Amino acid sequence: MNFVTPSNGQFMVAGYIVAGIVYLGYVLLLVRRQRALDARWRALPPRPGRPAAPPPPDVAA
Amino acid sequence: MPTSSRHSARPARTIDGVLLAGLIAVAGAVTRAIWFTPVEARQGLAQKIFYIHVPSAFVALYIAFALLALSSGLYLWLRDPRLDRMAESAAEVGLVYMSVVLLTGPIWGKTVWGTWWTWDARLTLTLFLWFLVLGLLLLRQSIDERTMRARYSAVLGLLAAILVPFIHLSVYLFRTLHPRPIVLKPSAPSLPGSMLVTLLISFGAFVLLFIGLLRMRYRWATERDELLALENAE
Repeated sequence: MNFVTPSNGQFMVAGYIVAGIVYLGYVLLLVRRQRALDARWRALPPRPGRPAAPPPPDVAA
Repeated sequence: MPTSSRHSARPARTIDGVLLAGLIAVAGAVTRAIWFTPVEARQGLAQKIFYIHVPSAFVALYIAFALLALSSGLYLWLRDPRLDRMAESAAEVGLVYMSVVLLTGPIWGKTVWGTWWTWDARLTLTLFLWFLVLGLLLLRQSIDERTMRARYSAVLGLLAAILVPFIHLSVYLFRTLHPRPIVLKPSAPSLPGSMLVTLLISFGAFVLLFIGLLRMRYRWATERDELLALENAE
């Protein structure tokens, strides 16, 4: 089988893409987790003295 | 009674401002590294992986895992749940940075060493540390009782951080393919000025990104614990 050897520049691009996927993927994970947690807060029945749940994401600044 | 940002009238933000600044700073550092920094004569373009690999390693080893050790040690002394949350957050964000190190290193290594991986002291110890921190986070998932979970993970966090000096010194103590530090060493950095400036900008950008990620992760952990306390009280 003939394999095409990637060029030096392609290795650089691969390195940056992999790092980008990991960092942006983690940011996305944190955002999703935070939104899921906010939804759990909003689902709590209101009680006197309890801190208010945050507004839904589309209302939030 | 829980106390948090939820008591304030300030609306909740999904993305932290510091995190956004960190992402923009990293994008700027990457732009400078790729387009405005000279190409290394012998290694070619692949050497530019250096500008993400080295700052990520620096943040993971000397900031995230140092913070993990400090928070873990202080937790064992003071038993403050905020320290446990800080240790948990530093471990997770540090693991992300360490993952980037372990993924970009082989890509760079393939071009300069001719191999993706070698079981030398630096690489093996780094991989071992990655598994230890992953184990710490998995351990936390498996223990429901809060104080026991915090105590066990604090001990494991301290043990994991003990590896950091060995990883730093491994290139001096053993024969390894991995090069010795060119910046974090007693003598002057062995790097041309323009490359050093790019590296320092990258350091700053990745530190800022770390602070943003850590803030967001810590806030999530705080609100999660408060919610659990409220749910358990009902």
